Amino acid sequence: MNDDTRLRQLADLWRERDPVPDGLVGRMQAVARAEVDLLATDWDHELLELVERSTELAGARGTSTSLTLRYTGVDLDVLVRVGPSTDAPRIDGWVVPPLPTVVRPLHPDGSAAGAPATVGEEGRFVLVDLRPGLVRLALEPTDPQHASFVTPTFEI
Amino acid sequence: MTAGQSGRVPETSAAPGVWSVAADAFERWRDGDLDALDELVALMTPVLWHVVRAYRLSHEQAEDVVQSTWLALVRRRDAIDDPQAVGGWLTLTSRRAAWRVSARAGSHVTLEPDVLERHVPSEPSAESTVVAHDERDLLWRAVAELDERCQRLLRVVAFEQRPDYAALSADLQMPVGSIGPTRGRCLAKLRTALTRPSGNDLGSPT
Repeated sequence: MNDDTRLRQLADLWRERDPVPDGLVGRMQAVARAEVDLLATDWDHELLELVERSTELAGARGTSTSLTLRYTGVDLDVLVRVGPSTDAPRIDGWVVPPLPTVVRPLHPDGSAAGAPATVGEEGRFVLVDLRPGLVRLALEPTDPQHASFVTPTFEI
Repeated sequence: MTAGQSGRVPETSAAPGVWSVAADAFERWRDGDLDALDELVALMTPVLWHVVRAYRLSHEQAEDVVQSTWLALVRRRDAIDDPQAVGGWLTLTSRRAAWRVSARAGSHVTLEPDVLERHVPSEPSAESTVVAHDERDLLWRAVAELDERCQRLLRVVAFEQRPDYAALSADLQMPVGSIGPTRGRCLAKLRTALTRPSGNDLGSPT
């Protein structure tokens, strides 16, 4: 068996043993379409890059999980902790450096997923009473000289 | 010469034509056809999944990385001059993000238990002895016995048409010139594991 045949066989095996999750293609199509729509408006936010994602057990009995996400952009780092999951999910966030910034939770289509919050002096913000589902955060410094940023979507 | 070799990595397991179909869809999307973006996403998401999972990310981490890749493409579409390059641009972008996330995860790499189970050769049982004779299971077992670097390299080259060896060498922490030979060695190890008498698969230490 030559190498190409072997590699084709391996690809088939990986497709079978670690298949693409159900619905992934549809979710990615929706993400891409929503981004096209947003960019067609006067949306001018730089995309933050994900550098870390972890889930850990939380709650007194360790029955729920909280999700930690860390993003990075030019001159900006954002840490987000979601959950533990309840009926009204909450997000605790930290922004470095702690510039005065408005944080808006958005659904992928750009509509509001909850009330905005303001980053405090220590760089902390809290979003409460969010509507569950896919959200992304837009970070808009009050000083227009600083760029605005947006995270990719994540589920709450 | 290594650079020359990297350009001649033969079309491998991604079905022939995937990359040119992707280029065609990208071009039509760039010309204003939004349905072509859906086609491109449907075509390349499975390739990105396998490339990203080669970095041992969890399902959730892998999905985040694939998502970031598509967001980056929508935002940086105009930076891709040659439509033929879109497949390579997508896989390279996703590998960079996967590498970042997996490096950050460091020692506590998370794997779903079911995947872990499939990676670890299991204790023989009457049932598995029968199953192990299935060729695909034998191959899967042989893959699981390879070191992590071989597993990653083979999965990436199995799904990418022409992997960027320079970027791969950084990911795999090996010189560019040794990727081609390493690929050969990994495939040779796999052959050896497969030709071993089947009794050795069933648990005796030597």
